[in-house]
Amino acid sequence: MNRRPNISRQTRAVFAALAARSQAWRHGYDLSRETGLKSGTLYPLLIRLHDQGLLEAEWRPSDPPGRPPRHAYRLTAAGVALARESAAAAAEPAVGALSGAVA
Amino acid sequence: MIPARRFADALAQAAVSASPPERREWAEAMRAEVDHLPDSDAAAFAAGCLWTAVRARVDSAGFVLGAARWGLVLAAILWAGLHLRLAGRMSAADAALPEALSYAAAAIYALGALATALFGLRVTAVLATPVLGLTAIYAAAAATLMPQSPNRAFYQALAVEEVAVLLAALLIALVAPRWAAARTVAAAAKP
Repeated sequence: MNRRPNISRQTRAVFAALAARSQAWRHGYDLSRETGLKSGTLYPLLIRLHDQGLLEAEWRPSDPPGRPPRHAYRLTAAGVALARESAAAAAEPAVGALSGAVA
Repeated sequence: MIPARRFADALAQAAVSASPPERREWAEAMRAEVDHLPDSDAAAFAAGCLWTAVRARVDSAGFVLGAARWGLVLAAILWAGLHLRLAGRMSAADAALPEALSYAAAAIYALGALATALFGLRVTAVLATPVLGLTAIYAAAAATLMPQSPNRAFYQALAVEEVAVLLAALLIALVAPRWAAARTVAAAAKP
């Protein structure tokens, strides 16, 4: 039997935001606005995902040019896989509840 | 520069200073991000960054070990001072043995503080274990050693208190390194 990943709501929100455009490099502020997470919640999460090899992080030139570089993030292949698994696991109870209601 | 932006920059700089060395790059990343934010959002975002850096510092194994080590050093110095004060105030005719032991304990705690400051928690455990054993024996035998003393219950209570203090110091010295290591592993494994 597959074990469902035990992933917090905040982590799922970050996974969803990053997985929506998995090839794009995203910034902390941008992720904070999209997920509704404060920086004090978001950054510890990003750090942990990075430590676990689920997130790539690198300094990228700023847009517009001439400003200091910015740290940018995107999921690794393992991160994308876990994000999909987490999205599927999160959808499962809703599907179960819906089938129960229909029956 | 408007005050809100200056405040945000100060918070972001404080986050860099507060972060542990192993997280310094992330603190720099947060500071760089604050540079790119609109003034209206910068202070709140930077406050979260500072919170993140402080949490990382407190969660770091180095902080736990440092707090345990320097906390024990401080406590040992205070305890040595209390022993000196107590020994100097013992005036009862039957107090020769407790007085001598109190001076000895002050010296041992001062030595323990110095050794812990210089060599760390492992030495604390090595030093505290035999002293704890001897103190426990004295605590058990105190009443027998001074059968005529009207204060023997008091001296025995002091010895039992000494055992409790040494036991606490020994536990801290043994548990802090394991706890720090376990926290590091748990933080890395948390999904």
